[in-house]
Amino acid sequence: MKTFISLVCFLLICGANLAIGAEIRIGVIKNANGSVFVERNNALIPVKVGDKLYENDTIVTGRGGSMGLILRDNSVLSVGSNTRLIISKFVFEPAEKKLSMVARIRQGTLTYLTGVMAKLNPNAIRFETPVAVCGVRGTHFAIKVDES
Amino acid sequence: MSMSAYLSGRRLLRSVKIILICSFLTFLSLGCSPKTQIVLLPDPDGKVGRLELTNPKGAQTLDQPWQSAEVVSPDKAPSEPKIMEEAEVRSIFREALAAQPKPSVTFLLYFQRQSTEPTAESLKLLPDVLESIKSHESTDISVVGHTDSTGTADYNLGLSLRRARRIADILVSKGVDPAIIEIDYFGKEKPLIEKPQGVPEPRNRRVEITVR
Repeated sequence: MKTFISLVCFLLICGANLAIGAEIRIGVIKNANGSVFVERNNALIPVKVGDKLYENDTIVTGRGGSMGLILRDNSVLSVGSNTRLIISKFVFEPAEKKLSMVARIRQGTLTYLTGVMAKLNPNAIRFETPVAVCGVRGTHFAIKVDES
Repeated sequence: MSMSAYLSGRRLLRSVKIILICSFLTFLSLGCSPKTQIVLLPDPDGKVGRLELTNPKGAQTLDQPWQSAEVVSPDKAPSEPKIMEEAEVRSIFREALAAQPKPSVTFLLYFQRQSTEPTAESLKLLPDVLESIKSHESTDISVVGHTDSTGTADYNLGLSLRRARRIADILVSKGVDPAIIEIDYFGKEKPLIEKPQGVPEPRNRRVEITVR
């Protein structure tokens, strides 16, 4: 019974997080080539230029796929083929001084050019890989994570 | 049961077996650590930033263009940074680099005191704004209103909204899709130039248009 209750609680929390995450629009897709998807609420959605990205979305590209985005703080993010990248946190509210971005790449390649967020707070941005954490003090970099 | 049905049954069983074995191997390989490589690139304007690569075993700082470090597992510290050949970096990250969109462009339009009419000088920027919306094939435009610090907070909040709406209306009248315009307003809360309360500052009476 206890396990059941904690499972229900866990699911509720997950659900609540997803519901909140789904409302925060964090960027727009500017380039999309080949097989490109966003995994959102456990569904794999094909995406195209002009589609929006939301917090907790996972960017997924297949063989030959690539995608480029501009995020709310005018930073520029792009990924190559066979990539999985989740933007698990993106808070950009300069007026309230709330600035934070956490992205996690499980495999594939990415490039990132920082925007306003990094200028306002150089400690706000973190890229995580399965084996390390990259603190971004600026401004333009690339990450490759081999397929496991 | 016919022979062919029996055979296809066996074939199915074999496929299931293969799938199971593959899933198990995938599961095993997830336990291995995929190697991470990080490269610091020069900015489009030639400047170079800084990265800190850390894991439980150590840390490295990158601050030279084309400098790279690797991490092979969480149990091993990041490697000593080394400078890579630009061509090699461009080849490894070819797809991602090619997919990089043009960075966004921001325009500043200024206003007369307490007015929602842009200055004559600022109106001259509009063709550039429209041109950049076209060249970016933009689907995401921010129009953000601001004021200087003369007057009450409430008055300025309203004025900054009216300024932003005025500019958005102009863009729409020139054929921009209203659905891609997002209006925001901050009153006197986000000055570009810090001035004491109540001191007029033309450079703060503005609307910022960002074309993404």
